[in-house]
Amino acid sequence: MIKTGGEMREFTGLPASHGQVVGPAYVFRKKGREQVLNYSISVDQVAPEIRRLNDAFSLTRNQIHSLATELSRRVGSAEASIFEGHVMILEDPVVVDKCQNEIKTELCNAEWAVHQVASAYAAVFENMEDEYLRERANDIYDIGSRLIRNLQGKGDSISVLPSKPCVIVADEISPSETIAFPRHLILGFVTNRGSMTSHASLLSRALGIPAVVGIENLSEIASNGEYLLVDGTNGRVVLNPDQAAIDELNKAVKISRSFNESLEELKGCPGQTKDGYRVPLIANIDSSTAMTELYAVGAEGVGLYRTEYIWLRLNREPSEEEQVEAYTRVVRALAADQEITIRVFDLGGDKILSDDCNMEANPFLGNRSIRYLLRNPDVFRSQLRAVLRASAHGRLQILYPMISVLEELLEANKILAECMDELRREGIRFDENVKRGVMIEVPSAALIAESLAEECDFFSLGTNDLIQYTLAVDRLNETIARLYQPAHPSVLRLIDMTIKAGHDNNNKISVCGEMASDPVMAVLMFGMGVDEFSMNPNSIPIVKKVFSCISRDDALKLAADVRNMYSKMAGEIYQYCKDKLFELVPGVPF
Amino acid sequence: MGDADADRENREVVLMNKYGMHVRPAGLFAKAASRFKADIYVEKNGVVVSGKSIMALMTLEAVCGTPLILSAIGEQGTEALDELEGLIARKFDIPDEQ
Repeated sequence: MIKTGGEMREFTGLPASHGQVVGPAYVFRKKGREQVLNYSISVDQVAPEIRRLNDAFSLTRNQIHSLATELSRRVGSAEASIFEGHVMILEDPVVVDKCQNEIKTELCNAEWAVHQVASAYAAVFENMEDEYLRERANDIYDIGSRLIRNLQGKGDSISVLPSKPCVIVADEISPSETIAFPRHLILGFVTNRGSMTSHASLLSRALGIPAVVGIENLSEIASNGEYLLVDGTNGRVVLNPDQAAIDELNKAVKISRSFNESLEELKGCPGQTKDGYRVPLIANIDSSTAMTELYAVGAEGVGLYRTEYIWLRLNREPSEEEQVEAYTRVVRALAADQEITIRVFDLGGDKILSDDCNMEANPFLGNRSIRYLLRNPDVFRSQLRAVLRASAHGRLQILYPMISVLEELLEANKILAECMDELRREGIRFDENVKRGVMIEVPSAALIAESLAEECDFFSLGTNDLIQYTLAVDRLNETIARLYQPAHPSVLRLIDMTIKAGHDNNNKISVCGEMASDPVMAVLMFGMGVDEFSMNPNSIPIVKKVFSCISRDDALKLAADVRNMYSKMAGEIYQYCKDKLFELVPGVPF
Repeated sequence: MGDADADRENREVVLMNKYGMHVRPAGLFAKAASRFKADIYVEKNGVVVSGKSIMALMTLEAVCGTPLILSAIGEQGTEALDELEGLIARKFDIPDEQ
C-alpha cells in the first residue's frame, strides 16, 4: 500500500517525543501565517468594536478553559496548566488595555488590533536569549490566532481534518492544535520549527505521540500521501522509506513493546540479579510524593526523604510536632520490613531560605546543609527529636548531608545523643538502635571515608553534588554541561574509596544521586560494590528490569574492566559500559 | 513611585526555578500578587513592571539565577511580599523545575 516512486530521503531533527511510526503525510500547514483582515473604522465605531473585542476575549477564555479541563482529564493537570496560563494572559488587564488602545488610537478593526499587539509581544519573546522563553512567542501566536478566529466567527476547530490516520507535517504546530486533532487520527508530528521545550513538544510527550521537530523545510518537501517514517526516539525522519527501513522500524517497535510489558511483570518482584543476588531499589521522595506512587512502581523502601521541602512549602521552620506527624505518616505507609532514610534539612545552596538575607557569593560553598544546622542547634535539635520520635513507629535511619570534615559528624552525633537523653528523661519512646549515615557528596568526605565510617552506620553517595564538587561544574549551567561527567575517573575513584572504607567497617553503601537511575551507571556501581540504589520512583521499573537480566559476575567483570580504564576519558568509559550492557540486555531503550 | 514613598517595601530575591519566568511561574506569581490590595512591582536591572500582569512578568526575561527586586506599596504590602518571596523560594511548587 506504500506509495512508490518517491525517492527515499532521510532527515535528522530533535527527538521531541518517544516512539516510532510509519504513515502517510498530511501537510497541515506550510510556511507563513494566515493573512489578517485590516480596515479602518470611524470614531463612533470604536465603542462597538471594543465590545466585539471584549466578547472575543471572553469566548476565547471559555474555550481555552474547557480545553484545559479536557486535557487535565486526558493527560494530567501539569500539562493542562499551560492552558491555564493562556487563560491568565487573556485576563491580564495590561493585555486587554493594549488591544483596546490600539483600536482607539489607530482606529482599526479588532482583528488587526489583536494582531498588532500579539506580534509586538511575540517579537519581544523571539529576541530573547533564553531558548525556553523564546519559545513562548509561539504561545502568544496561538492565543492571538484563536482570538482572531473567534472575531471572524470561525470557531474553535481545525477546519480540514485528515480522513484517516496520518503523520501531521507542518511548519509549526501550536499547543491548542496539538490537542485539537482527534487522537486516533494522529500517528505522529513532524515540524520544520520548534524545540524540545516548546509546548507542542511537551504535549506530544504527554499524549504519547511520536514527534520530531526542527527539520528545516520538510513541510515544503513532503506532499500529502507520501509515506513518512517518524522515529521520535532518535530524532530521525525518513521520507518514502523502502521496505527494509520499515522492517527495521517494526522490529524496534516490537522489542520496545515487549520490553515495556516485561517491566509490568516485574513490578511485584524484589530487585535482584538473574542469579538471585539482591539489589534493593528504593525511592527518593519529599513531602509532596504520594505514597501510592511508590506502591505503583514496586519501590522497596525510601532511601532518601528530603525533609527541607516541608520547610520550603511552609516558608518557615516546621515545628517539632508538625515534623513528627509528617515523618510518622511516611514511616507508617511503608511495609513492616521496609526502611526509610530521613535526611535532615539540606538547606542553602540552591534551596535558599527567604529569611536569610545574607546573600553569599558562593552559596554552594557556603553556609548550607549540615553547616547551617550545626550553626542553628535549636533547629537541628527539634528536627532530630522529631525524627527519633517517628522512629518508634517503624524502621527508620538518619542521614546527615554535606559532611566535609570529621568534626561535623562528631558534633552531629553528640547532639543526637543529647536528644536521645532528653527523650529518655521525658519518657518518650524511640528506636534506641537508630542508624546514622553520612552522605558522601564532597570529595573530602570520600577521601576521609575511613575515619567517617567508624563514626556512623552507613554511607549514602550523593552523586549529583559529588560530581559537581569534584569537577567544579555547576550542573545547572548549560554552557559547561559537557563537563558534568558521571563516569569521570575522578568520580569513580572517589566512589571506589568510599565503598572500600565503608565495607571494611561493615557499613552499608547506598547511592541516592541521579547516577542510580541510569541503568548503565547503576550496573557499574553494583559491580563496584554498592548495596542499594535510591532513585526517583519512575526510574525503578527500568533499573529493576536491567538488573534482572544480568548476573552478579557480569557486573563484577564490568567494574574490573573499568578499573583498568581510569587513564581514559569519561566518554570512553561510559560508552564502554553502555556497549557491554547492550550485549547483556538487548532492547533496552536507553 | 519614587524613593520618597513612605510605605514602600523592597525585597531582593533570586529566581531559582529551572526555566525562569515563563507562562506558569508568571501566572502563579501574578495570581498570588493580585490577591493583595498593595501595588506590586518587580524590577530587573532597572526595568520595573507590574507584578500583577502575567505578560509584563514574562517580558522581563528573567531566567534561572536572575536577581529581582520585589516591591509593594500600600496596604497588605508586607504580607504580599512574604507570600511572593516564598513562592519564588519554593520554585513555584512546580515539580519539574526543582
